[in-house]
Amino acid sequence: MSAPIVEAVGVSKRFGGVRALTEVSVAFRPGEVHCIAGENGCGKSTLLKVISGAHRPTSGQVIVDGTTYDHLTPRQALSAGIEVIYQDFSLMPNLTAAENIALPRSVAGGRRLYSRTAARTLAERAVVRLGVEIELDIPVGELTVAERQLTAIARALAHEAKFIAMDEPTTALTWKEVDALFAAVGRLKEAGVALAFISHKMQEIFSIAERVTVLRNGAVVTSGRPDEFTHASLAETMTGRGSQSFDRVAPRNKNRAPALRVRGLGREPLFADVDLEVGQGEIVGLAGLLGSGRTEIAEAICGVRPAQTGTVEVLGKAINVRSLSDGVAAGIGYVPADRLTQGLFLDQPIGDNLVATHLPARRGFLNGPAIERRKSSVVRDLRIKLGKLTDPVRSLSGGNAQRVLLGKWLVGEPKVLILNGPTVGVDVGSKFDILGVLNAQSLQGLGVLIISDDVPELISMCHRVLVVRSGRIVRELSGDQLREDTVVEAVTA
Amino acid sequence: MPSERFRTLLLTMGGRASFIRLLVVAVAIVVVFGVLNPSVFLSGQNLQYVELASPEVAILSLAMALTMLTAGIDLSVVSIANLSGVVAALLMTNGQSTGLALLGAVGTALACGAVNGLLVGYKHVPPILATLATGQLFSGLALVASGGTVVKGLPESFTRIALVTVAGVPLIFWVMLIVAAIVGVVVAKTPLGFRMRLVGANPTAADFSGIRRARVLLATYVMSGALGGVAGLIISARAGGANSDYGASYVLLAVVIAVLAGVDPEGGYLTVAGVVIAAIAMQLLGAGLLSLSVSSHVVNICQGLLLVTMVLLNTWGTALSGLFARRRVTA
Repeated sequence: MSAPIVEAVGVSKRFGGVRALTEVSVAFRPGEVHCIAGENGCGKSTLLKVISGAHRPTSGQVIVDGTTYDHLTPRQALSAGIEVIYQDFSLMPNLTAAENIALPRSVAGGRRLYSRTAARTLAERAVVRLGVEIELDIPVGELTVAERQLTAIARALAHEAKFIAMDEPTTALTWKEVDALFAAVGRLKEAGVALAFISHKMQEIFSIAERVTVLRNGAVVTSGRPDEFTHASLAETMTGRGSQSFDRVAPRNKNRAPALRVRGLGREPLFADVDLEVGQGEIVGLAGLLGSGRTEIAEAICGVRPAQTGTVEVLGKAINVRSLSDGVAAGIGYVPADRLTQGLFLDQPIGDNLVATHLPARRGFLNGPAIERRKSSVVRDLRIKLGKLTDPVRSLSGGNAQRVLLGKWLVGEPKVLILNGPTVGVDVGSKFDILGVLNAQSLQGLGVLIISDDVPELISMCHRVLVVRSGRIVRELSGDQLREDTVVEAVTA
Repeated sequence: MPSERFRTLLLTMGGRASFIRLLVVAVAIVVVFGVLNPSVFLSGQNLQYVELASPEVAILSLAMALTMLTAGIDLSVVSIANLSGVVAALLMTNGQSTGLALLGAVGTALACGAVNGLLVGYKHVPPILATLATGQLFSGLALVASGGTVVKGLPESFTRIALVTVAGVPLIFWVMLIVAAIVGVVVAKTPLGFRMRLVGANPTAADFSGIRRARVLLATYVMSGALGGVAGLIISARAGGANSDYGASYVLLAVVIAVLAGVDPEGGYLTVAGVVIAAIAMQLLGAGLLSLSVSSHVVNICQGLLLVTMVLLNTWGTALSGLFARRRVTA
């Protein structure tokens, strides 16, 4: 086995009284993809920050290329070829993708003058090496989340990195883009780059990793080759609980009027002729690649970006949705994809987030007692773990923040709930809980429409899955047809 | 426990370190000038001056703070005050009743606010540009209407407003307190105030929560305009006339007071009590310095220094407290 490029030895990290990492030792070798797996808050990100020099370990060392550091600085880490791609990508939204990719290199190279053509060539080369297509000449702020992710990876490539760590890189990517990313990772591997891959998606871990290290509560629980694990045993190691069944599908009552009925919905050129129905108590999946129109269809139904043609009915009653507040008034809820910027008021109290949409008022004034009752009933029903209701949402973990977002809609007792990627970036344990909440609500008659990239999740949750391609619903899968291979095939065909 | 009750009171009024800091500054101003020049600073005359000078500034600052709550700003608020004042003065000097003049002023102010609200809420013009432009527009209208001079000869029934005292306190000071109470109730106790805060905290999330952002912003700027109108009436009553360019420095003073009070210019937080206290504190500082017979430029310098210090403390505050917390752990 070749010598590791980067190695953490007995690293511990405390924040005040909190132990984030305890005696963690892990080695990253050239040409090896090493997955760090674990639930949110297990210390994965802290470990990355110690390796990149952003955090100084309380004890322990980081060894880079044979040199031992008690305290690696970010500058030392960068010049040693350590690149970390965080979940927020750290891109500059006002610069173009090409500039974002090339700039760090130009700056680090100490060049006084910036050459647009040289930057462009550098960026092109990195993108070609990655084997993806990115619009290089428009500001990064206008790119999709997936394109921004790829830009960040291309930037690391342009930097001649020897070690690239990616913090949940596939969170916002579709299967096609994940395949492209994995192909690029394969090329990096051949070039002798050491790769760290933080993930809690089983499929990914098993398809890409040469080595898996599982962290729980800041300590290494186990480390080994993926073939030493099964899906179930790995999930159990991560959560420390016995594996729960994904299968929660409940039979639906077909005799009741549909919760949601959409006919001929269209908005050129994004989507057209969309017919769909969600029964009371039914969970329907909407699958499709990024850019297929699945998000646009969902946003048109709830009124965020209204459709030009077509009708929407809730419980058999036609409604006219020109804005989200129309949708809300008609009993439609929408949980958006981007939790941090679209869904939550991060610096506002948790309690106020819960009642942001459905605010009890009486004669023009806030109804204080009713508001407090609502807040506490949601926290109880969804088992949100929090300190005080007045704490900001920022203080919550990913899973709990997602529950706040769900609770914000469930508090208004909607007839239809549309969710865009409800479990993205949520750890395994919370994911089961969230899916459980949705299942329980659907049993009470709520119609649920889920947009998701997570095929196993769609299959286990949904009664039917509709497949969107180029703005049209091209297939409906249910019963025996509802299998992982058929859904993936229908989506990518 | 009384200290516990005091803490709860503080929390409901401000609840932030910036609010405590403001109180410290206000008390320090009173103590310092009270010691340096007790015969003048603590005299009834000086107190009355502060009571008369504070209301217009405090009300303009409340208008500014309301727009800041929604992560906006209203640079036109002083122009609205002047235009409203000119409209009222012209109505009165042309033989209309005082009551009709007051209605005319308030109507003008609401219309101006609505223009701002439409531009910011429905046309998505950045507030700083929209209100800078409309401010010029309103000033220009006031200039044309007033003919470029001070509209004088206001009836005694109007100018009396600035002279009457109720329970030993000037009527206009009571007006300020009532206006502040109304703003406080709107912000803390109504759905509109709740939504204003959310719109300021995260406009995108507000959209995705089904909040009609444009309507909330329209209401905000209309309220800001209305406060400008009230301030304009107080100003003309005190001055006995109205003109188009009174109190040009008030725009910046209102921003200073709002920030001093701890209002977050990036939206999502407002303390009405803080704004009123900060407005009075600034007047006390000015009166105190003048009682030491320094020039009015020094007053500006001191107000500027105070603002810079408070802003630095507000941004460093968290870092400093973090430092102390860490020391305690290691000790």
